[in-house]
Amino acid sequence: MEETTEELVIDLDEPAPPATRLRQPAFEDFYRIQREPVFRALALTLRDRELAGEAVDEAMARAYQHWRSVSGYDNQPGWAYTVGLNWARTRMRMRKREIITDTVPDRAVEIHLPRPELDRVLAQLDLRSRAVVVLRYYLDWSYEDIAAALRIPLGTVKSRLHRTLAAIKEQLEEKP
Amino acid sequence: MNVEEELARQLRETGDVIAPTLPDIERAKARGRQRRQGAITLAVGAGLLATAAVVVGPRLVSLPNGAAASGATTAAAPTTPVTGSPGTTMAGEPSTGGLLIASAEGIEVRPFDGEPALLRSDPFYESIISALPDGDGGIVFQHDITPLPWPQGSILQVATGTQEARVLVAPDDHQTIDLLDVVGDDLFYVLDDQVDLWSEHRLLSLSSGEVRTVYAREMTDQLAVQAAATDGRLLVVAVREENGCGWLEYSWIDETSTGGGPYNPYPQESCAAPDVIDMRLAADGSVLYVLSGDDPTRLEGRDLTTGDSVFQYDLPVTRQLSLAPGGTLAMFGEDKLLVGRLEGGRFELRPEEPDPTGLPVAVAVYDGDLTLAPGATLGSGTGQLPCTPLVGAPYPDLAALPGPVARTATSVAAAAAECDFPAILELMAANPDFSGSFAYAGRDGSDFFIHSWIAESRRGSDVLNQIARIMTTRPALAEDGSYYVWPAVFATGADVDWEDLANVLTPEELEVAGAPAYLGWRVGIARDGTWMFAVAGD
Repeated sequence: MEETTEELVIDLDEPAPPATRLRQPAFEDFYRIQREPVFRALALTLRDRELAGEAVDEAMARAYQHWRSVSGYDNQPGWAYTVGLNWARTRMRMRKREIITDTVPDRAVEIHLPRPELDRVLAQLDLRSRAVVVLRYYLDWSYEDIAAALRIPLGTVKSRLHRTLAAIKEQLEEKP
Repeated sequence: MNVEEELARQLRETGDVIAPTLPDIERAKARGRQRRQGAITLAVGAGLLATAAVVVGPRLVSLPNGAAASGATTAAAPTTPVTGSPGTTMAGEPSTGGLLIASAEGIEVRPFDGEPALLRSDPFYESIISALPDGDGGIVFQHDITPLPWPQGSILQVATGTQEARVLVAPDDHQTIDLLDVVGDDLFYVLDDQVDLWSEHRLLSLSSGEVRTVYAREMTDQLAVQAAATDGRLLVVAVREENGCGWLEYSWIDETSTGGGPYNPYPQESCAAPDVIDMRLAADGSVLYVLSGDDPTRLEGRDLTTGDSVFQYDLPVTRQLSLAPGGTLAMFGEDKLLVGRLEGGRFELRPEEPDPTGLPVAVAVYDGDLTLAPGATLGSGTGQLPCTPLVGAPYPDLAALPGPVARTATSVAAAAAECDFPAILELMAANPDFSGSFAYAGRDGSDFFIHSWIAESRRGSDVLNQIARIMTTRPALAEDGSYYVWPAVFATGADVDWEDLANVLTPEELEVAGAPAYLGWRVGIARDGTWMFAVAGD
């Protein structure tokens, strides 16, 4: 079995707790290292802390369910993020929320960027485009990793980012 | 600042301060296990489930308080049924039968009309992840960590009138097996091959030993089999793609029964199947019971002749469904047990079900009686643990160490070398703050550490043997002077200590240990002789 992929381990600011890392990739390692960054990325994407918490828990349960397969994946956090995102989208449909723009109702758990122009652009993006933005600019993933995680062509990643950046520039230029 | 930098900065500023939600790895594992287990039980017997339109009663049911094990459940009370007409009272409690509750402690056998009993496995192998009646008075089950010498993941049986367990099905090294169901003489299970990436639902005849594949599919990371149910003639499989598209697939078990088939309420082209948690098929195949959704969880009955929804019932968070032919239905949600009856056109939950013993994982209903022999056990009784003794190793001269340190070091080294897990557990337990692995959501302590070591050793990493070898090297005083650590290279990083270590670890182990900074197994003992830790990693 392969070791956990080092290049995709996300380094949090907080120091790692005293811990054991065993020789084989262990679900416990994956959970300890990846749950928090996957949760935060989902929260930014979904703009909903509560839903992101449920989504990451669901993704982690499924990771454990399929750990023998998942532990061999090159991009385990990417898998968990995508599973969490898909679960959340299903959940949002079940709640009969607006699915055209995937808008989340205004609640205390809603996530906003501090700068309103940027926040507005992100809020108007569909979930898939927002996922690309978050993975690129929050988790600092390569285009290739994003494409693999979201299972979309490399060109789609680039075009979504291009469109988003163009929209942000437009918003900033419109600002008095 | 350009747009990309500004976007990245704003995302980091926002994302990094989002208040984290509470991690709970044990809950994640329990949910994963339940999903892995899939369909659980459709116990055998002659009785048929009432197939007329099943009507739900409207009574709100008070639920027992959850066990404290997960501590995170916030299950709501059941809501009023969304369809159906008012019921009256529950149509009589079941007079025979009961529940099999698989938990970290073993299998609790809880007769509906008698006192519960706990079936146990061998020490360190107590945790059971699934248990079903075998239809003939015995039980079939799977351990979390399977006792040696049985292969990890084996499906075992304690047959009627017997005390000892025996292996029914065992996976190869690169395969996993999930117990699915027992119907009549046939045991159904799912076999996944992690190397060749295929998955098969198979049938084992308990009388003849014949094995037959009844459903097969290539394994991909974009598609998952969520659950399966069978009446012994038809296998219904819930499939879901990662994009959210879900459907049901039918596979005839009796190869002479082909074509037509019952109505499929969720064919592939519809992409409309709910996110299925579990399913059951009525004993006569007429009604499919589907558990889906999250909170609330919905239990829906679908008539497979007409496709009509015969009832829907909203439940608290529920993860697993079990149905006996006599109509008793049990569900397991987070840490709660829900038991109800389908009878005479009514469905009603029992008002209260006592909390199970230990940390429950799955529940199954049995009809009739279990007839296990007194003293029946779930373990192999061999006492074998996954460890290779370290024989004749030269130990360093510890005379220069403080007496308490030398004494503890000698005890730890000897226990590890002899594969004496009970002695290791005792040494760990002497220090409540001992660190031997991760601590998640309050789940730590020596019991947890020793089980995680055994599980890890079962996966091929000989933990105690490695610790024993590490203890044959020279220790060093930690930088702050408060404890001694084996091997010395962890504290010194000196070439001579790397060379010392190279004498006891294999090149592969050395590579994993992470030169230039040693991150392999290490043992720390305080100046007063307290065993502080035995950990690996960063």
